[in-house]
Amino acid sequence: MDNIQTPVQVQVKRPMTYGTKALLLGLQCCLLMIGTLVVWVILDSREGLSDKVAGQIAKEWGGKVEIATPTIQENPDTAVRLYPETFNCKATVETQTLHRSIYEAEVFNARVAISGSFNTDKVAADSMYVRLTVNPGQIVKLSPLTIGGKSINWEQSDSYIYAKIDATAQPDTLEFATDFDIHGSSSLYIKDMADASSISIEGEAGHPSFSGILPNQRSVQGRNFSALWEFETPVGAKKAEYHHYDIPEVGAKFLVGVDRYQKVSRALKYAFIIIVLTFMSVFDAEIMMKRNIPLLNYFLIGAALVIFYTLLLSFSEHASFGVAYLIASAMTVLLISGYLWRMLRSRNVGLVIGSILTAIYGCCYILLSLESYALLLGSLILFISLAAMMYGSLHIKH
Amino acid sequence: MEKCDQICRKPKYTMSWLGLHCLFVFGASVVLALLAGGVYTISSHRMNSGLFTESSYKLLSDAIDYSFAMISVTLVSLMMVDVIFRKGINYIQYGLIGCALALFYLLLLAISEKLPFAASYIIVTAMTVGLIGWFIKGITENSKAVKLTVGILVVEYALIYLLISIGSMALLVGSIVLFVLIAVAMYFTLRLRIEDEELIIK
Repeated sequence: MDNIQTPVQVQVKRPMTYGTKALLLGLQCCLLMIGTLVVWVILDSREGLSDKVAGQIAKEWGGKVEIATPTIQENPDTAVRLYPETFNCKATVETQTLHRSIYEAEVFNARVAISGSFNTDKVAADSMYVRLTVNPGQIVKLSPLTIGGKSINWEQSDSYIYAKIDATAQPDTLEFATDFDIHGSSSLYIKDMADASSISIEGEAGHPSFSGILPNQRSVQGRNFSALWEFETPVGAKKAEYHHYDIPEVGAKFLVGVDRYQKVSRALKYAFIIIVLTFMSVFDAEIMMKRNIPLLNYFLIGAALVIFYTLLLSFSEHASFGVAYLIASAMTVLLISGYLWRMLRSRNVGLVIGSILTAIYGCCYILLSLESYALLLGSLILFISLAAMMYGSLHIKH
Repeated sequence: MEKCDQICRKPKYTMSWLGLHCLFVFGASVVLALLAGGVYTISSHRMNSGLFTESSYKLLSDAIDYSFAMISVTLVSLMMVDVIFRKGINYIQYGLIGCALALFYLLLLAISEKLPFAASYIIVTAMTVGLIGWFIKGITENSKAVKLTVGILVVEYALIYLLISIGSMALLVGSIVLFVLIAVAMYFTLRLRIEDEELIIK
């Protein structure tokens, strides 16, 4: 019986040549890129959903904040208005993060102090109103209006607040001041309509940007920012320059959502090079060990590398990006190196592949955290890995 | 003489058999997932005409999102059953089983119009798993193979029900499940041996 089996066992099928196999592996890399494309589509839809929910949370807290210069008028609803001579506005912004399940939104609470003066020469009627255009629904704490030394409580309308004053008994220059706390998100704008004005916004927020007219002075250091606008254009000149409703607003814009998805999408850009480098190192191991690794096994290794990105995406929704990257890459590296260890029955190969993969993922993380040096470092890493591949190919003997 | 018959016959389960079957399974899964996508279109029409509630519609469309993964994983595990138990399941039989998996979504739509979603999901799962189990019993005449297939199918359907009902956690659970799936596939390729060009799972 034994002599029947021997000839069959001796007959060995010729394995694929290295060239054919390298070509097929290249094709497989392209096939696996379809997988990363699917991950990208998932990422995009998650980002859209997250933005939508963040928008909803922010809207419930209070949306855009728009504050206009206070005016004196005969009736709060008339369009004939007396604009102040001087206007000072100081807004201090404190951001806070609101959570709803895994979604987050950055909203702010701004403490706004307004002061200035009116020239009451032109005031004819006995009783006048001071109108301040700001959404009363967003105001949480409102101090009374101090005008000409008297304190008067504000009354609320649908879209503005107003106070009734006795204008005739006032001196020519009427000083006013008030302050309030306001809830808002995404932006804080101030519409300036005064002969001379000074507007300052400061506080801490993620990624603030200034819009409208650029500030005279500004500084952004990490999360702390401050900006100052100063104008000395008479109201009449402003009105001539712009139509009434097109007067440019000045202010700051803030990011409502979180930027964790951006980091994942940047990491996704390195997918192709990670798959190629891993395949090359496994191929090298195959040649050095003189073993045949079937294409199916390569496919599984590549699939594990693609699944790294879905793991990264889902972990980063529950933890910080660094922690998510660490866990996802540790899982992937352990799986692949353990697989090769068992497949080639060599612990050394497993350890070598494991350390190569750790180095690849480590480099990728460094590239993600660097911004301006990423290209320089990336090209140097590619050069070194090319040199390593060349060194590896020296071992191939025909 | 009997031994010689076993050894001298042409090997069936070769590496190229595996490659061809993988390609076939991939193509069949794409076609059947597109058919399941057709069910999605029908369900949106049914919802617009008021026959189908919006909550069931959301659950059904989420379930259809997983149809490609469901069909391909089932057909690949059938290939594994084929290799382990050495019963030739032919292409037509693979296709029929795939059709049963795609029909699942149409049945789910039809029954959930009349019954609550959870109850109809259980009924349709029992119908589909029963049909495929009976079919595998007919093909292999091996109760172990039937038990394995039915077990895999039940686990898959339970997982999909879990994924569609947990909402925003689905991505986390789904990606961990994918990772485990790859690990299991790797484990089986480690046990896959090629002896006399014949694939054997030990």
